[in-house]
Amino acid sequence: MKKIFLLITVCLFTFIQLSYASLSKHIVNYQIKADLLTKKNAIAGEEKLTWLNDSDVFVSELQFHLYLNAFKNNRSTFMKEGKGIQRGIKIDKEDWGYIKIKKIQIVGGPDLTSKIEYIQPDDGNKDDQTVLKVSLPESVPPQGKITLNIEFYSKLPKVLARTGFYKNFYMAAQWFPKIGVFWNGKWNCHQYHRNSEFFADYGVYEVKITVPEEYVVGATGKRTGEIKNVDGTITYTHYQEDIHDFAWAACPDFVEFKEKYSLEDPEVNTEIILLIHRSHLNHKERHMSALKNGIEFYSQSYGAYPYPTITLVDPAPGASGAGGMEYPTLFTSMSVPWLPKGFYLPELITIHEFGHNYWYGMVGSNEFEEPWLDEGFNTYSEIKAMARYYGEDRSMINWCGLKISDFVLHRSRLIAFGKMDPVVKSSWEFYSGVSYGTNTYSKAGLVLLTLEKFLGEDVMSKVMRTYFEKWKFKHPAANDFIVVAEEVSGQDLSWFFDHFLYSPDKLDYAVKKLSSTEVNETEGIFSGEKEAVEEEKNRKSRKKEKLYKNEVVVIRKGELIFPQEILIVFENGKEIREKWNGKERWKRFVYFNPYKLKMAQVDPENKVLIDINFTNNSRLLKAKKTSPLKYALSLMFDFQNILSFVSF
Amino acid sequence: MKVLKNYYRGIKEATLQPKMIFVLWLINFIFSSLIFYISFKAFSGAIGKSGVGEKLLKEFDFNVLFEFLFHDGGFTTIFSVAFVLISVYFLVSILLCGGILFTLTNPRKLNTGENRKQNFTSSFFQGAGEFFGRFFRLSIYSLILWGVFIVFNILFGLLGSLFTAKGDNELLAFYLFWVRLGVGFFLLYLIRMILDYTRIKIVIEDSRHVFRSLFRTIKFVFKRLGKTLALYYLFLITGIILFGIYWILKLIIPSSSLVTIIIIFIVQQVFIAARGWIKIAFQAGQLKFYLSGRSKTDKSL
Repeated sequence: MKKIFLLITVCLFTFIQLSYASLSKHIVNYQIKADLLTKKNAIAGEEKLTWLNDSDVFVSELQFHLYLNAFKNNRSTFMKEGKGIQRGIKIDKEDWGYIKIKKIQIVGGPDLTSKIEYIQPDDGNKDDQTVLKVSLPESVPPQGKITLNIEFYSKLPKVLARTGFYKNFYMAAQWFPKIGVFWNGKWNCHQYHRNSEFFADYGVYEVKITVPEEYVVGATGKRTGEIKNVDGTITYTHYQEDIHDFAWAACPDFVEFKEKYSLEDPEVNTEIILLIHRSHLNHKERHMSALKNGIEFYSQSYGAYPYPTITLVDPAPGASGAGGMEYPTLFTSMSVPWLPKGFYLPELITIHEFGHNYWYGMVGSNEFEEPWLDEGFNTYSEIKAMARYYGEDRSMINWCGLKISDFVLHRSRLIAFGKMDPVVKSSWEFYSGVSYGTNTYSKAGLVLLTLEKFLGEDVMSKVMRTYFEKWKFKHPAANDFIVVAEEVSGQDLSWFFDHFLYSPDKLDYAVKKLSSTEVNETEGIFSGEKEAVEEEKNRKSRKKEKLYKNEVVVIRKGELIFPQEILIVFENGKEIREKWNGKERWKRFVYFNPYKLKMAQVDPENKVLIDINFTNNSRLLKAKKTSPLKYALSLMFDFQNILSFVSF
Repeated sequence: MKVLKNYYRGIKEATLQPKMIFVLWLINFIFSSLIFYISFKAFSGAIGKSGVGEKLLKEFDFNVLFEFLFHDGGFTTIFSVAFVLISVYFLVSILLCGGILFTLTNPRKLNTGENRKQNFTSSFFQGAGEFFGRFFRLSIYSLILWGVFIVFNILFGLLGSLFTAKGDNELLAFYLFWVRLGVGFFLLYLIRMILDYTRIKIVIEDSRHVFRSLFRTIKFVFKRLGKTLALYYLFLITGIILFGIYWILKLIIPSSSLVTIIIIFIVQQVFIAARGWIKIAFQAGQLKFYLSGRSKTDKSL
């Protein structure tokens, strides 16, 4: 009896353990108290951080992100890279932001405040104080832990980019001292850049946020406590495991909407929390519906959304610089209250930023060093999600007959820009912001869509699921994805990734030449008498029908290589499909037929979405003037109207 | 009532001027033909031999547009030529305006039976030549009005930005944008109307004092602002109705075959001719209004 009882107890204990098994290895454990000082636009904070040395080496120093210091002066790396301007807003001189460490001490140990040192691992810019180093009196051994108490004061900047305040709206992001990642035997703790800010370890966050009572607060994780204080403030406690950052927003003009969301396959049970500014209430349903679409799409495509909450923050008017940002279980979208329903910008931002809970949130790639792993993957997902919910050819604009898809807009960026850099590059090393955006978002997204067309939708779906499953709550690099793609597809894809990820070149295949020329009768002396008689017989029989030499020349105009299929159509309807490895600069196909060619087309199924010119993919033997006529006449008519308008 | 009467007289007068309408349409057509030629060549080069041409017949594809914009130099040529053509056409239209007004002020010559054709031609080109210099000077002086228009727009923008620059009143910014656009168009048409009456005054009085005529016309217009505007907007609305009819026809007729493209083209040319008709009606109606509305004081001016 005792044994049975013991067995049941063990089973029950194991079950409970499994039920609450964490999704990630908890490297960090933060307990933070944050008091919002609205008069000073600042946060007074106390942080208790426990850090696990998960490496196999002794660690003698710690490094922290102090990213609010990016807004401390105009010489920070962020300001220099953005030339003081980010997202179209110029920072006001009186509204700089900074973070000050008042005290840092090992729990039960020495005060380390005097050992604080600012370092600049990326660019050596001595004016940049976004990374802090502190030497430890004793190294932390492998699998050892260290607990620190940190007192800090965060002065929020006026919203310029991503974080800050605007009037009574507060977006607290990158607001606390956050430890870097000890990765591959060294600290990976980059400075705050114009194009990147995310890379941190997973763990547990318990944050107590104190704000004036009238403020509505949204924060990462689940609310576990709410205490009214005697001084007219209220303290909210938020708790979340398996995340790598914590952000929150507060504003008395937020209107809060909560809704339970469930999905059967895969099983998802979460709570949607929408904090929308009262002047944007007409966008409530748009955001809510888009978010539900996002949860459904990402859960079905990659894996169930595992967190108990998801919070959508709609920044206040005037604080749009804080919009369109992602944080674990919380993201900011954007509202344009006058925007007609057929313009899906708010929906796109909501779906995209939610999607970062997967590509950044759960799959914790290094945004500094390989930003395409989150932005490119998310653009790929966003294009597919937008097409699914808003229409393949109208997923961005569907208004008064005007139809533009998200895909077309990303492709237009690829066509116009982005030849300066490859996809894989550190975020701060791109030629320009446009080049960064084009390559890490658009080109990377289109590369993945092209891969999908190449492998087939089912195989690609398996690749993405496997990658997500294998690397969720870890820190993958580009090669980890490549390995997964090759394993799942059973193909050597190095040729694909080498070209498309690591080369700044473009891909452009075209049909250069198409000709059908009548073959002349053979004349002259070819061989002996017997053969000549035979030839004469053949010649007579051939006289009955004409013979054409049909010639198709396809060329590779860009530097990137992709195996091509060529469809050749003859005037009698006969079709031939040819394969070409696409490596040489050109390839000629010649046929002798009693009929002429009609047209030829490379990539007839339009699989190679990264091709920058679809128009030259096909060529007709006889030019057709109807379409040019239609558009030329249309342009002429527009011009006639302009002339009529400018005249007396 | 006076406004409606002059509106009707303007329409009637314009309808009686088929040759004038034809001249306006023809010159417009000749200038635009160059754009047609260049664009047809450019589009034929880009899509004539491509399979996408067939697809484009059925529906527009932004992929092709972006490719054309970024890969092909065709648009740069089209825009450059268009810019030159617009500038030249502006000068030609000054010439045409003189012809139109001179002819309209001398109707008896046009309606005397067999000599009508000859009379029209000589009258039209005589007026065109005679008033070109004065109307050109008027265009130069009108820069003052356009300057006022630009300054007003800038001031309106600055005023609006006082309330909206911080971006925290998005709806106000949105409504202000529309108000600014509305006011902008109102001023634009007001200036155009003033210039119309100035030209009428110059022709009727055969005045060589262009600047003085402009100044006095402003007084004339503002003394009868309601009526002049009402007449102007009646013609404008007529033009909008014509455009609406064209748009409906365009929606009904799918331009996916050569035959329907040609039909649409004919409809378009009818519309352009109708625009010419409306332009003449504008001038004729305002001319009648000016003649009937001049007070003794105005005449003495």
